[in-house]
Amino acid sequence: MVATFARLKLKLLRNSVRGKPQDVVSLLLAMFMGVGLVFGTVAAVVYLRTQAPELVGLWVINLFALLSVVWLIFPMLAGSTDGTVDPAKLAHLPLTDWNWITGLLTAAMVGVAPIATLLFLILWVVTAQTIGQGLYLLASSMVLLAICVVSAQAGTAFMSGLVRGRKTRDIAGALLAMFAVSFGFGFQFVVDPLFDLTEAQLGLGARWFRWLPGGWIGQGVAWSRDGDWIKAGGALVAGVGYVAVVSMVWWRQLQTLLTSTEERGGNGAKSDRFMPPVGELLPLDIRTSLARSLKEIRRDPRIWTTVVGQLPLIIILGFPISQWDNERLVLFSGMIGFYGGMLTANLFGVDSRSAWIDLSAAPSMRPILWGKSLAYALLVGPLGIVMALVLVLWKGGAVYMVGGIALTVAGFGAVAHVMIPTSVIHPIPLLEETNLFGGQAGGSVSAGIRVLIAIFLGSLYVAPAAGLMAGAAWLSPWATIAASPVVAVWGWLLWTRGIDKAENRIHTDQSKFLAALTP
Amino acid sequence: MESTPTPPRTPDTAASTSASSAHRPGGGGRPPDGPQPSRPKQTDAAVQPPSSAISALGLTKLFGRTIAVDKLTLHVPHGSFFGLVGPNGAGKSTTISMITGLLRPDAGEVWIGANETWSDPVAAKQQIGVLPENLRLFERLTGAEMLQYIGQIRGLKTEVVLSRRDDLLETLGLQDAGGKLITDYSTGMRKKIGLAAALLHAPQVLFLDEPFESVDPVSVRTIRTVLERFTESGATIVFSSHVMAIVEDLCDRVAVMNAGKLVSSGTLADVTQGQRLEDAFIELIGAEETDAGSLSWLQRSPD
Repeated sequence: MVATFARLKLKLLRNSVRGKPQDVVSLLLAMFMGVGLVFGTVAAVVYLRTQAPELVGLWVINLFALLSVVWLIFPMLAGSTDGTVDPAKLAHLPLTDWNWITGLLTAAMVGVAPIATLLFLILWVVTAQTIGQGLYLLASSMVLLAICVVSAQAGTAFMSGLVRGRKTRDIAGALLAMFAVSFGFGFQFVVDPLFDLTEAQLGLGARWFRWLPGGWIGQGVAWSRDGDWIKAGGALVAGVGYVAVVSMVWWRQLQTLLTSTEERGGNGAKSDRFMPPVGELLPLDIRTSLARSLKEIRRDPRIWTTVVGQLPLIIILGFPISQWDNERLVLFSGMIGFYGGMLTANLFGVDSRSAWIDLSAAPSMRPILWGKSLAYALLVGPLGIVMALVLVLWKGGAVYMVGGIALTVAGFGAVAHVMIPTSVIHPIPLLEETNLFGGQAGGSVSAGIRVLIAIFLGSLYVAPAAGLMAGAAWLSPWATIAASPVVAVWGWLLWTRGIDKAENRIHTDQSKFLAALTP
Repeated sequence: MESTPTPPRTPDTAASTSASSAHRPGGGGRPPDGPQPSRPKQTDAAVQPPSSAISALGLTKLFGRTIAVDKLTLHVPHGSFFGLVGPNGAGKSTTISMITGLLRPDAGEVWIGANETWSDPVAAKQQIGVLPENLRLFERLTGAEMLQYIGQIRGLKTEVVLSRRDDLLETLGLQDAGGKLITDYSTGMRKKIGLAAALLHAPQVLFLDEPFESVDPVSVRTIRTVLERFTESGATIVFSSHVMAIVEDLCDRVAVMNAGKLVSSGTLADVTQGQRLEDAFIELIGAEETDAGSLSWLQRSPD
């Protein structure tokens, strides 16, 4: 059965090359990134061979523990568990618990990310001093890979179960947003010391990290280097035990997901409840589209994963910015606009059927595009204000708040200018998944590439507004307030232009647009 | 669960909304506040499998505060072609999902032959083939590849899988499409490849949820022929449909559902009482003619 699941996964990966061009590109890029990771590892371990043997042991404990934590947390934040072998498609088959667990885990281990991880682990074998140590490293690599994969699967399955209710999604979304913001700006406190690690610091980290499942394996490797084979064997057994227990717990959760449906009724989402007062000022067609989009955002858990999945962007952007110790940092709350703009990257993918109705019923898609993008703007607007306030409390410079909010509008407009047409040209129809975080292999790479392109192009478009604001800040803090209307209007114009481009694209080639929406 | 078949104890075509025996399946969902169906009583008879091909006893499912299926008891005799009909939202798909082990009931039990679906899902699923309404297929496999993997996962020998695969593809008119990715299939082709996957292991019972929906007449004819040939071998088929003419034409037994309850069940003659099925159906569910006059604004004036 294990072999059948492995062959099924390989066949699905191979056939994805016969699929849409973006799938092929995603898979190739994922492989490219995997190869890059392996080469990076080669360089690192070759360097470590020159280090003192005690230091290698400490590095192994710290890195192996961190690896298992990354595998657990990253898929939940970035929505990237490999769900290529979707268990819902096999739910009617007579499989025993053992068949399911071993089969699905095997399938999850066949892919670019797990193979790159395995190579990363196996390459540590060059640091081994004896054949016994080398063999132990090979065995521990397999166990650690299993720990990583099962942790990711269990973590996302539990998160999927947790966010089945709308209220839970609201709370979890708010908590994760707070985590991303605080981690993005507070990350420097974690990372800075890494650039100048001493043996004592490494030892301190190892002392704590060895209590994590990945750390057990790292500690086992360190013990094997010391020739303490009984303890080393015990570490491996503990790792295997962790895999067994977590697998069972994961499978029980997955069974619940497979044989139940999302909670319905109760906390119904009425559109008027979410319509902000400003909505009443909008024309009727845009207001209707906005109300529908707000309702859709709250009701569809796949949108929740999209919104949460873009949160690492705040970490990526927040970290370098927070290095700057200046009250002008408040202006960088505008990067929330980038995050909001990213959310417009797949406006039609969640409910592709409604696009058919919209196209046949509405005289123009412009109000639909306005309503959909405005809904995301309203979602991130409060977050931008919160971030500006947090930065004011941290760095001072309340006078820059207005400028920060104006830059949020500019950032949103700049990225939406790129992403709204993209959501028309290359929509990604989202399928119903048992595990909300499960997706086709390479899907997260595809999303990641969109993020990078959007940041690059968005930066170009926002440059005039950012330049104006920077110049104003250089002159006087009060000048940023004067520059704010111009900066906000620039963002507004870019947003409008993006909608025009998308509208033209839809009407130029309606059939192509609708065909792209078919999963 | 180890279950020992016992002598027949159920009537040939018993079907009612009163529960004969039921229990809460392991890990069943928590009933929320709001209207609650009265829970079926526990009896020792729960451990005795009924003699029918399928027996649903006191099956209940709630979605939030909505009772989707309310204490449904249904027996499907061996070798019957059983039609499950009802208006939209009657609970047909929910019932089929619960019987086939795809949706956990809040109460009740389901027997496929001598195996209780939720106590021993592996044994129950070995005997059945399912074509669900919302068919989920591996889009990145070809039709032939999908059949091959399904067969292998079901534990069939490779040569048996390959031989049956080719037979099914040919019979269903998919031999040319066998090498195409499923993502490129039309709705009718998807239904047919789903049916092929459900038939591959020659199940004793076949469940089809709306098999003729969105399917062209040629494909309907092909599917019908395959199903008729299948029942001739003594197998049991349960299918849900809105198309009364097809149900009337194919089925020897019918059950009518409305608002989560079974309103009638038995042989076609018993249920229709000499009427057309459509008329009997409308009478049974108590549907009223809609006043077309309320849409008078749709009528154009002569000028």
